[in-house]
Amino acid sequence: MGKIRGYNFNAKLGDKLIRGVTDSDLSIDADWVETINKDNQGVEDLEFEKANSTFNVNFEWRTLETGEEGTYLGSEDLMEAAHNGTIFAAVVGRVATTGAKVISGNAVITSYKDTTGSKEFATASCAFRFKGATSITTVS
Amino acid sequence: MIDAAIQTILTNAGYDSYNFVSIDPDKDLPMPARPFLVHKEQLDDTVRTKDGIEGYKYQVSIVVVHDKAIDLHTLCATIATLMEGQTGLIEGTNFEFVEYLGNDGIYQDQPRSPYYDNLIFAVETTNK
Repeated sequence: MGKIRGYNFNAKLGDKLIRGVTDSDLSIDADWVETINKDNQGVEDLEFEKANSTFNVNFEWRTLETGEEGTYLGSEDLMEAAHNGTIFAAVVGRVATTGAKVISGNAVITSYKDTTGSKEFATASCAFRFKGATSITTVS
Repeated sequence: MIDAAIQTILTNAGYDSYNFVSIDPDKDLPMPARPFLVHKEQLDDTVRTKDGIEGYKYQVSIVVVHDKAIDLHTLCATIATLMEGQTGLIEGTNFEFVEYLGNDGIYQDQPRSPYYDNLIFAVETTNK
């Protein structure tokens, strides 16, 4: 018990998922600053500054079928957003699990890449970075 | 089911074809008139996204049997083209693509026996 299958983790942009996601990841890099002051008598300490969070999403390159527009973003939507510098309200984590803790904030696409060989179906990936303050919220 | 779909594709194209699983190894059946085809399907993988299972990847083998090596060679090329052209719903199975991967090469069990070749295809479907 307690183990979670990877498909439960996803990213939501606005109120939409990305169509055809095969895998995703989230990285939270915490910035800590070394401090040495007279209060702690020369003993080195660490002070928390902020967390820099990024996430990556790999997906099958998909167009949206009729009726999917309200639920999903297609691959061309992401290509356009990357090109135009769109800012998304983003939620990352177990976004469909009530009560799960997720990271929320505004995110931008820092890289979009598609792979379109002759033999396989096209795939693509996006790298996102949270911009500004983030918070941990609970899925309701 | 994909085996029924492959059988329909080959039969509709006018070939005497047999599903491998329907051949009873305990019965000593006479070899059919040549040329004929025997097909076998193997589920290799599922296509999974975070939305669930969205497809199935099969390896399909079609053994082509002919009395003349040169005619077998021509027939194999025809079967490869026929299979690669398959998309859409066939016998309830929705074909997304078929890719001809290659063949084993023409062989013969013993002198004066028919010639064989095994054609291998990658098939992706959206359902079983």
